[in-house]
Amino acid sequence: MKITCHLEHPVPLDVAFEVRGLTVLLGRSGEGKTTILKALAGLLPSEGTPFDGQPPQARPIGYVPQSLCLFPHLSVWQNVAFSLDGAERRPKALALLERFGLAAFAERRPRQLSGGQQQRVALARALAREPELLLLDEPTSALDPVTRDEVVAELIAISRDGRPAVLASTHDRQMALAADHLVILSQGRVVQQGAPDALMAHPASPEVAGLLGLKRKAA
Amino acid sequence: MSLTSGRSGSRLLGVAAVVAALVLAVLVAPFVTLATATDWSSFQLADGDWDAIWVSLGYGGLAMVIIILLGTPLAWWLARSRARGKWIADVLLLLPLLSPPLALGILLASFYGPYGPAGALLSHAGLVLSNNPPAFILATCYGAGPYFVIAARSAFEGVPLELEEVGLTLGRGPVELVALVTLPLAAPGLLMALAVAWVRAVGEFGIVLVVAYFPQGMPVKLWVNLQDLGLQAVYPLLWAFFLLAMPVPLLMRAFTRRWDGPA
Repeated sequence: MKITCHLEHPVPLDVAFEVRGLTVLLGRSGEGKTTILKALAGLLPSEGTPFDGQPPQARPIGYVPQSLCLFPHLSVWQNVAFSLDGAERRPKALALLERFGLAAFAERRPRQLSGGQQQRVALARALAREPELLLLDEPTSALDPVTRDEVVAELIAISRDGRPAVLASTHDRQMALAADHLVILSQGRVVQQGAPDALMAHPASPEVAGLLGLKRKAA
Repeated sequence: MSLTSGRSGSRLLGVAAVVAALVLAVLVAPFVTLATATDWSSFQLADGDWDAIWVSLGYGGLAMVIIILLGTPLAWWLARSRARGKWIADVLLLLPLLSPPLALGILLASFYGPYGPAGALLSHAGLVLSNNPPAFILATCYGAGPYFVIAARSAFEGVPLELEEVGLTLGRGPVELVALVTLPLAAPGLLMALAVAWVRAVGEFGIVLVVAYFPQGMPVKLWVNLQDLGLQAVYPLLWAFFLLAMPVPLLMRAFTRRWDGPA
């Protein structure tokens, strides 16, 4: 999926990149990673493809913000079923929860779950609409290392057949290296993109090398 | 670990409890007097007291319906709109709050009364807003409405905007999100807003005294009883006032606690 995004506020950004399987948007804090995700979700005014001009509720996307934003007044299954209508909403939500190993927690409230479980509920909720593009803002930032590895493995599994494509922002280098495609963001533009192995072998600049955790200078 | 779980925290809690007990004792003291001053051997409501009770509960209730229907959208707009000049709306809302009730009553009578600009127009349509049930409801709306709007606005502001944004990305439209996310999450605060407004509505005296001396609600009838029959005619109606007005805020409080409690 080819993404272009141009906006002036809250930070000026003009980016174009590919999303292939699990794609990770890597950049320092304040580079505009969250802004890009919100713009793609339709929550910030912007120009670009593929959803230009569509209101957020009409875009075939799933969006999981860093704070997850689970609805505290709804049970876990009601959260997952939020985008669904009709008699099938409960069975479909329960099937998604089963997939994430959370069926036993269906009747609980989000606050009664651990951070990792809440992350999975948010993922299940975003997937319930069967989106074309799943947008995840720092999906591993609040997780312990073990749970982080589990969540990354789940994201790889979700994106395996290409639908939905997954675009995750992070400054977590290990998550970045596990991605199918890596997009490096700096000063409001994409400075390099490609497979993690290729970027590790040939970082375009010292800054990219630094973001990838390489001590040597760029080739 | 909470603020009050350690030894110094417990001590702080103890000091606060003593202060709270003193404040509550001072607040309740006049009401204890009510129990001792009431002549229980000849306890009975005065003529017209039941009418006053029905006026307060019935027309006060109608005023609350109007306040909820009009005040809720206003409060939501104040909480969510980013329109320039919204501060003007804030100032306008403060005007009836800052006005002494008697002064507000005079202003209402000047505007809605038979010789006021709005009153003259309304009287052409057959609606006179003076000393009748519509005037009573109008006065109550002015007295209680701003309190509801300000408390309801805080309730809406307490709902994180990000929850509504995520709701949008889940395919729900703005109207659905207000119903499915905003209102349920603001409900505890809205119930408390309702309780505050109800207390103001049934207790309103100054505005109705000017605009709607008739029909007499409980506060005006208390005044009339005091003037015409003396103190002993005040106490029975005052008991009725507390017994009938108090359940609404208590119920709202109970609902609020239930809403906030564990699933």
